[in-house]
Amino acid sequence: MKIAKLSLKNLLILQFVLSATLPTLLLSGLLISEFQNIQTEEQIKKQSAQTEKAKLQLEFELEKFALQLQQLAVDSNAALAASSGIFAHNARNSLLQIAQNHQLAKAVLLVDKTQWIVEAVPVEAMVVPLTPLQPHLEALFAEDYAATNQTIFMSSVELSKQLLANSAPAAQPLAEIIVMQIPLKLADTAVTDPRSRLTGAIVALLPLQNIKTMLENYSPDTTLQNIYWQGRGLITDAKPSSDMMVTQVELHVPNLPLALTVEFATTRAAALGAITALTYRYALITGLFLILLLLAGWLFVRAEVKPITALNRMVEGYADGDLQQPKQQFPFTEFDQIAGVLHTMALKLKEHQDLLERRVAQRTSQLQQAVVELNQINAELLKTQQQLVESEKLSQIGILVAGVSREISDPISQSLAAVNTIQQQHLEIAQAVKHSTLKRSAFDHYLRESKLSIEQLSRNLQRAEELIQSFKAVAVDQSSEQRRNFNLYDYLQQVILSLRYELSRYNVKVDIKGDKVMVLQSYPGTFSRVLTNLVLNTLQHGFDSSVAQHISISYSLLPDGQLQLVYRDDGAGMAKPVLKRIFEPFFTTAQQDGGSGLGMSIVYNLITQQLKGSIDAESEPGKGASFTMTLPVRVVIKPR
Amino acid sequence: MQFASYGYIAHNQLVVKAGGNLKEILLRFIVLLCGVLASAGVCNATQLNVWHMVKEMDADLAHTAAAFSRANPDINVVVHALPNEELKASAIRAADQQMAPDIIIISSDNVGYAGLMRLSELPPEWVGDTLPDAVQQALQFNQKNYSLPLFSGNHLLMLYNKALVNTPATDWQQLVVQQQEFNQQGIQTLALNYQEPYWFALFASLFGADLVTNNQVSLGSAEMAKALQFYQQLAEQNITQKQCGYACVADDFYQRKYAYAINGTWALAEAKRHLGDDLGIMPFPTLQQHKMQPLASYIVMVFPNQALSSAKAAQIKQFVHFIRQAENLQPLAKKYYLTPYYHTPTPEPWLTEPFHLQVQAQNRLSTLMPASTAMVSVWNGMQKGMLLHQKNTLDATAAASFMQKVALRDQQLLEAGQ
Repeated sequence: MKIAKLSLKNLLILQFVLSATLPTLLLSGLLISEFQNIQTEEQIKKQSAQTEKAKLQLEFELEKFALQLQQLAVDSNAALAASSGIFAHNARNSLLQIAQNHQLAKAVLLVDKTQWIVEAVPVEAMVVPLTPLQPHLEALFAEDYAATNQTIFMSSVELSKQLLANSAPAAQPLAEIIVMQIPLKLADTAVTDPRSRLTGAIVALLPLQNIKTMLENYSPDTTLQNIYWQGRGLITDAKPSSDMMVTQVELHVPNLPLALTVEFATTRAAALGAITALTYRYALITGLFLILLLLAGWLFVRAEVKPITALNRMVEGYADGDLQQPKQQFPFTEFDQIAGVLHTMALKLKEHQDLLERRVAQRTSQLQQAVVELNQINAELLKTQQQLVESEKLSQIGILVAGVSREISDPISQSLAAVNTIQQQHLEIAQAVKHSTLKRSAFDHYLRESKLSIEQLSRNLQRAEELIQSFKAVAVDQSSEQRRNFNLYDYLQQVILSLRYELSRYNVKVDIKGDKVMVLQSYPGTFSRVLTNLVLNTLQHGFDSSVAQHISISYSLLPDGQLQLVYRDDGAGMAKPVLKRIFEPFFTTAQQDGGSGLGMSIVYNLITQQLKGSIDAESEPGKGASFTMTLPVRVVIKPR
Repeated sequence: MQFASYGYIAHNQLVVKAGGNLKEILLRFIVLLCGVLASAGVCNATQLNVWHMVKEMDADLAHTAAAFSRANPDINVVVHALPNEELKASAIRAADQQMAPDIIIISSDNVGYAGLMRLSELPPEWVGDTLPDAVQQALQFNQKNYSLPLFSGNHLLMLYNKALVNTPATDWQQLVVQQQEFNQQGIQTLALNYQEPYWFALFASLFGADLVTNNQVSLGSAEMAKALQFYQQLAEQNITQKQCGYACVADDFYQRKYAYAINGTWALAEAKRHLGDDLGIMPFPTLQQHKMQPLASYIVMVFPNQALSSAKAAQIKQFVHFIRQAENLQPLAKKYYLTPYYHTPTPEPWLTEPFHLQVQAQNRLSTLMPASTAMVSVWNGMQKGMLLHQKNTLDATAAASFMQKVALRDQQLLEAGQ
C-alpha cells in the first residue's frame, strides 16, 4: 500500500491552526446552539406578549368604538335623523367624527325602521345591500324599545366585497363581517320604558379582513396565521408549517357572545434571524481570524522548518557522497547536535568507504581473472560441444552412407553378375560367329540367357535407382533445412526405409499409422532427423536383438490444428531418474558402448527450436518408452 | 356673512358643529343663570334670545341688539350665530322641547319648516298688502305669513380677480381656453364649493333642471343627470377641484390662487376688503346660450314656538320694530351689499353705486326659492346623489334617481311631521 507523503510544513501549519481554532469553533458552536434555544424561548415569550398586546389594543379599539356608537345613539340628533331628514346633516357629522377616529368599521350606517339607509359613512355605503342584514335588523326592531345593542358575526361575500372595494386588494379577502347594531330610541326621560320610541339603528360593518389587517399592524413581528370562529378556520389559504412557533389569543368583541380565536405564527428562521446574523458575523470574524492564523502559522512554521531544510540539504549532500562537507551551525540546539552526530558519522563512513573501495578493487581484480578463465573454459566447452555435434552429424551421415552402400551393393553386385554373364555369353557368341561355329541352339541359348541377364540387370538397376532416390531424398532433407510440402506418411516410410539396415539387425516390426493423404508444409529433414534419432535411440538402448520388438509411429491433427506425432516402442524402458535427464546433452546410459549422449538432446532441440513444438517422454522400466510430440504445422492437403 | 339655506355649512362641518353646540350650551347656561339671578332680584330684565345664521354679520347684529338694549334697559337681547344646518335642527328640537329662541334670522326658504319650528303667524300690520307672486311664494308657507323679510339679494355671484383675468369669460368654452393660460401661470381657474348642492344647483339651472315642480321634488330628471356629468367634467378637466370647499372660494380666492370664484353675496364685503379694486363681478358664463340662474332667498325673521303669542310678545315686537328702522337696516345692507326690505319704499341713494348695481343686476337674474316642504327637502338628497356620483358609485342617471328618492322621502317625512 502506497502511503501519501505529507509535508511537514503543511502538517505543522494545520496543527497550529487547528490547535488555535478548533476549541474556539467547538465552543462557539455550543454557545450558538444555546443562544438559539434561548432565542426560541424568548421569541415565543415575545410573540405571546406582542400578540396579547395586539389583542388588547384591538379589543380596546373595539370597546372604544362600541362606546362611541352607544354615545351617538344617545344623541337625539341620530334618533331624530332616523325619522326626519332634517337631522341627517347633524347625524352625518357625528358619523364622520366616529369614522375619522376609528378605522375598524368600513361603513357606519344610520338605518330607520323601514331599513332605509338615512345616512352612511362613507357615502358610498348609502347603496350597500342590506339584504344580508335584513333578518338581524328585523329581529332588532321587533324588540322595539327593549332592543339592546347586538353584535352579529355573519358571512356575506357580496357585502364584504363591496365594503372592501376601496381597500388594498387582498389575495383572498375574508367574507366574514362583524355587525354592530345599536338601537336608536327617542325618550323624554333618561329611562327607557314603553313611552320610548325606537326610530332605527346605527349599524357598523366591520369586515373581518379589516380586523385582520389591524391585528397584523399591531403585531408587526409575527404573522397572523388564521382566525377561528367556533373552531373553524376562516383563512382558507393558511399554510401551517411544522417549522413555526404558534400562539393563540381570544379576541372578544363587545356584545358578541363568543370570542374569536386568533392564531399568530412566526417561522423559526425569522425568529432566529438575530442569531443567524450573529452566526454570519461570527463566521466572518472567524474567517478573518483564520487567515491571520494561517499567516502567522506559515511564518512560525517557516522559521521552524528552515533548519530542517538545511539539515535535509546536509543529509542529501552526505547521500550524494559529499562526506567531507564542513559541519554546519544551526540556531536550535537539537538540530546542532544532530548535525554534529551526522558529521561524525560521515567522517567514519568516509573511512569505511575508503577501506571498502580498496577491498572491492582487490576482489574485482580477482573476479575479472576468474571470469577470463571461465570464458576460456566455456569457449572450450562450446568448441567441444560443437565438435561433438558435428561428430554426431557425421556419425549419422556415416550411418546413412553405410546403409546406402549396403543396400545398393546387392543390386549392383547382381547387376554386375548379369553384365558379366552377358559379357561371357557375348564373347562366346562372338567366338562362335568368328569361328563360324555358331549353332542355332547356341544362339537360342544366348538369346534366352541374355534376355534373363538383361532382365536381371534391369531389375537390379531399377532397384538401385529406387534406393538411391530414397537415400537422396533423406540425405538432401537432412543436409538442407528448406521448408517444403511433403506427404507425411510417405516420408515417414522413406525414413524407416533408410534405416532398414539398422533395423535389420534386430527383430523389429515398424508400424506407421496415420492419414496417407495429408500433405504438410514443414521441414521434412528435421522430421527425418528426429525419427532417425528416436529409432537409433530405441535400437541402441531399448531393444534386444534376440527378442521380437515393435515400434509404433502414429500421428494425427489435434482440434487446434497442431500435429501430434507419437513414437512408441516396447523396449526396456527407463527409470525415472533417466527419464528426467533424457534430453540433457551428453547424458547417456551407454557411454561404454560409444553413446555420445546427444541423440535425444538433438531431438529435443529440433522439436522445440526448429519445429517450435514440444515433446514429452513417458517410460517405465520394462514397459517401453513413448515420446509425444506436438508440432505446429501448415496442412496443405487435409486428412480425409 | 352667510345667507344661503344649505350651502355654507358643509365645508367645515365638524368644527362648526362643535362650536355651535358649545355656544348653545353657553346660551342656555346664560338663560338659566339669568333666571336664577332674576329670582334673586339681581337680573330682572326680559331677555330676548336671537339666533341667526349670518355669521359674518354677528358683530353688527350684536351691536344693534346692544343699542336696542341700551334704549330699552328692561329688555336684554342676546344674539347668537349658529351654522345654518345646526340652526335648523336646534330650532326644531328646541321648539319641540319648549326651549326655542324668541327670534330666528334665517333664509326665507327655511320657512318650509314652519310646522316643525312652530312658527308664529305674523300679525297683519307686518304683512305688505301686495307682493309679487315669486316673492309671495318665497315668503309665505301654505299661504300664510310666517317670515318678516329684512333683506333681499341672497344668492350666488360670479366673482373674478381683475389682476388675473383680462377678459372675463362669457361662456364655459372660453373658461376652458383660459384655463390653459392660468395653468401656465400657476393659477387655478375656478373656485367652487364643489360638494355643496347649493352651488351645484347653479349648474342644474344651466341644463334647465328644476329642483322643485309644483311643490314636489323633481331631481331625477335627465337634465339633472346632464348637469351632474358637466359638473364632473369640470373637476376632471381641472377647471375646478373636487376638494375645493368654502375655504377655497373665500381664502384661496382672496389670496389670488384662483382667477374666478363663485360665492354668495354675503362674502362680497370680505372679498372687497381683501382684493379691493381687483374684485370684479361678472355674469355667469353661458353654455350654448343657456344661462345659469342662481337660487335666491330673503333674509327673514321668524318667531319659533309661537313666540309672538308668548309672554315676551311685546318685547319681541319692540325689537322687531327697532331693527326694521331704516337707520338700523341701511348700514347693514350697505356694508353687505344687500337690499333692505321695508313696508314703504325708501330712497336708497347708495344703491346707485356701480358695485351695488352689478349685484342687483345679478339679483334680477336669480330665481327665488319658494318656502315649501319640497324646497327644503331637496338638499339632503342632492348632496348624497352628488357625492355618490363624484365617487363613481353611481352613474349620473342613477345618481339623479337616488337624489329624487331621498328628497321625496324627506319631503314625505317632513309633511308627515308638520
